[in-house]
Amino acid sequence: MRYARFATLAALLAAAGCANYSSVGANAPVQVGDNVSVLPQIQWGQAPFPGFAGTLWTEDGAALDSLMFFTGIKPGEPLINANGVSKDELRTYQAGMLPNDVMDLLATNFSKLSFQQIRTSNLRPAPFGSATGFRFDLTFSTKDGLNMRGTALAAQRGGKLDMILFIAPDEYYFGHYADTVEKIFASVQVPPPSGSG
Amino acid sequence: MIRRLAALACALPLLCAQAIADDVAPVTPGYRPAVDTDEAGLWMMSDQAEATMKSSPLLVKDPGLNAYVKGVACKIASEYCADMRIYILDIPYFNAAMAPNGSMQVWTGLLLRVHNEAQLACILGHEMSHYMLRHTVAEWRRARDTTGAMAVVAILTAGAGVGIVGSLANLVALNSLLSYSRDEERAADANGQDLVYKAGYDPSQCAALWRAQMTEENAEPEHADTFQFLKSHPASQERLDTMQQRAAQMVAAANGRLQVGADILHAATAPFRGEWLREEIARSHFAQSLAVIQNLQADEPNSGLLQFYLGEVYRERNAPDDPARALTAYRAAVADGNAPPEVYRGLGLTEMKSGDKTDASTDFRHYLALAPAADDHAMIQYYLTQLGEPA
Repeated sequence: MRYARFATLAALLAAAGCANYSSVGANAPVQVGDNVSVLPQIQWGQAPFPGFAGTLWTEDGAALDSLMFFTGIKPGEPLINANGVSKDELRTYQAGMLPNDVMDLLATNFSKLSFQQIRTSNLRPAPFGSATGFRFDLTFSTKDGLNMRGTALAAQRGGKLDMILFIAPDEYYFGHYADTVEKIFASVQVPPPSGSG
Repeated sequence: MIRRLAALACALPLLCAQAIADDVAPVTPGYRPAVDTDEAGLWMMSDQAEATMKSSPLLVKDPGLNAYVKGVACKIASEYCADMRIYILDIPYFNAAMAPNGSMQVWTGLLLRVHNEAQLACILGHEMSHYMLRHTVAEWRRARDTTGAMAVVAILTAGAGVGIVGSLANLVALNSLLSYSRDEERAADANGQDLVYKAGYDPSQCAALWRAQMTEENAEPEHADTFQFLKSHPASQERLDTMQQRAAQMVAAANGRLQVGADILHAATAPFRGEWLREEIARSHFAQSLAVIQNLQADEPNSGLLQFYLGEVYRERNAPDDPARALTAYRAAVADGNAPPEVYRGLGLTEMKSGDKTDASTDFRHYLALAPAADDHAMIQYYLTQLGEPA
């Protein structure tokens, strides 16, 4: 039916629950794309995502905790590129966006993926490795009525966007991994900007 | 087995709310179907769907807003008031639906779009009419008889994958598969208009509301599938003309004693309109959002809130001429005098991207002064340093 194109990230998360995971070790830096590396802190499962542009790590299953890495997003590309979601339905990253615009971009991309009551907050500057980045938080509910929380760290480097996003149910799971996620955010390493040091 | 399938199908309030009333009599106040009928199965599943609605995180629990909408509903429902329960759902689309058991869902996107209390009464009266005339039951029976119970169940199963606005909304989205007949729509139009008129509202607002919805849909026809209500209630020029003609006769007979109630509606919805507008823009159907806001501005030309969100649409869409349009809208909002502090943030962001550092700094500072506890305070301070101000 015509609504099939509104296949959801939630559906992808559920599908990932059935996928084969590879293991990500806790104690060695891992490249997550576009010269971004992080220290995982704990052992994660990396889930393959058919048609999904980013990398996803999860501990208890993608529907319960998802640490997503979107790196090297170029102007004209959506932040989330999931199978079944028409590209013309998704706003894309644009050169010259301010952090407010990037935060709105994520919210509107999520709104196309069946999530509801999306609220963003606490936009603030934050280091992204040696680069200047920004943080923001979000809450939303799934189509099944589950209240979710998220927190994001992002930066724009060399005209491209990197974002690390953690989302989990508000009840138990978000809080359970919050400290780990903070440590991972703090562990981000990127090459120094060209022309420096 | 067939009865169980029938009951399953009617877990869907609006699917059940669209029926053909050829062979069923209207409900009487206090009506409940006999327990040994297929209609009782419909009611049972509607009861279960209603229980889901009660626990939905989308449910708007504000007592004042609920009392207001319920009050309007009861004013037009009259002796049927006790049979009806209203559930306001936080979904930014235009929709309302009444299940065969008397539960009605009203979405916040509808409450944003109605211009006055008479228009709200028009929609509630139209939906109540489908309920009162038992279109639900006849439609269900016809769908079951013509499509076959298994086919209907297959439709319902497919509906579970509809993800645009959530599982409750998914149920309503299935309207598109089984639209009301033209005769049912005409009957609901006429009965709804009668209810509105008897309650003392101006019935000419009904056609005005339908027309506004058609304008919004036409603003972005490629995304017309977001108009669940119009899909299940397809409006035609003939229906609009009929509504308008009937309304003209009623208005003439009323001799000026009819109420529109714009101020009452605005007072009741004022605490929520900013959030509803934000949710509307977040849908990213910018042409539709512009139509929504411009429709509302026709009645509220001096609303700083509407001007502010007009600016937000332009800023977020960011088409070639949009920054200039955003600045014009934001400045008009400031001139109107009742815009939220965020209008200065919008100005600052737009000016900063346009390279207008001096004005951007001024407007960001103004924003921080008006909203010292804003949760993006640190970000705005960072922008100021980027604009050359001392940290």
